[in-house]
Amino acid sequence: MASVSVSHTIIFIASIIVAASVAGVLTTEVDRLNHAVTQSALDTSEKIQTDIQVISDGGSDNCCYDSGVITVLVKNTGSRLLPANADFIDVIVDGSIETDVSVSVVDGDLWAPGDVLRVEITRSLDSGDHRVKLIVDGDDEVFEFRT
Amino acid sequence: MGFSISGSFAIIAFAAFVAAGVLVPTAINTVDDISRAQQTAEDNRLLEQNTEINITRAEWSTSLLDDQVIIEVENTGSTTLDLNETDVLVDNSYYGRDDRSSETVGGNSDSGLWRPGETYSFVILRALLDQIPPERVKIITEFGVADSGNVQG
Repeated sequence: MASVSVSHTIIFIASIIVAASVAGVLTTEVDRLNHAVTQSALDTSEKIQTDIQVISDGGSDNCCYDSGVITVLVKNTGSRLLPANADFIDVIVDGSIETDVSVSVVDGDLWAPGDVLRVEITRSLDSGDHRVKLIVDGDDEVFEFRT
Repeated sequence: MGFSISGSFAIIAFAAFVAAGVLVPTAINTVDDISRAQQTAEDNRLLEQNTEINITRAEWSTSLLDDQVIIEVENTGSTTLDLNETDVLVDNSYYGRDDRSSETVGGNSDSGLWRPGETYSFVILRALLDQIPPERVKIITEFGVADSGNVQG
């Protein structure tokens, strides 16, 4: 009879330990899932709020290349503040990713909604038609011009 | 035996309850954040569709006082625009509000709102221009809707 009680006690302790382990794993994984969902939602929300537009005047003879520098004006037409940082913008010229890129906000200190960013890309171009693609947080814009 | 099962079940049920307590508010906030972002984007798209401008005058004027390019643009859409967010390019050079002189909108010289049907007029003085005489003008609204044209005169 005593052996039955001991067995029951052992089984009880074992079951409690297993249940506690399962509960621990469950709460830990749910916490990780919670962080991932929160971050993913933040990213999705930022992508939806991001919108840019190239406003350079392609009809002007002064657009957009001079002495080895391509200059493109990009307006923030979205609803959130964007970092005015060249590392935040992917620039592709005629199919090649460009890394020698500098940026400056022309009408303020921050690239807020409605503000314009001047993007200068150091790259030699031959005469002819050219294509610049800018990607900011998933939103891309293509601008074509002639030199 | 029954007590073991009850105890284990109670622990796991409690953990599941805690997990649900963490996940449900996150799910609600997530849906709320994305819904608000989508709503804002939809609103902006609607405003963009209702925005239209038309350059009615772009003229190079030479005078004894000062040479200047005179620009008049009509808001032909149904959205009220903000002059601070309206961009001007002359020969692809950017001119902010500080660079524009003799600004009036709908005949009013101290308003920053550009209402539907009103004409926004201003001049840019020769000293600020990169190219003499200027050839091209482009006006861009806050939603990216633009009009461009050649300078006459």
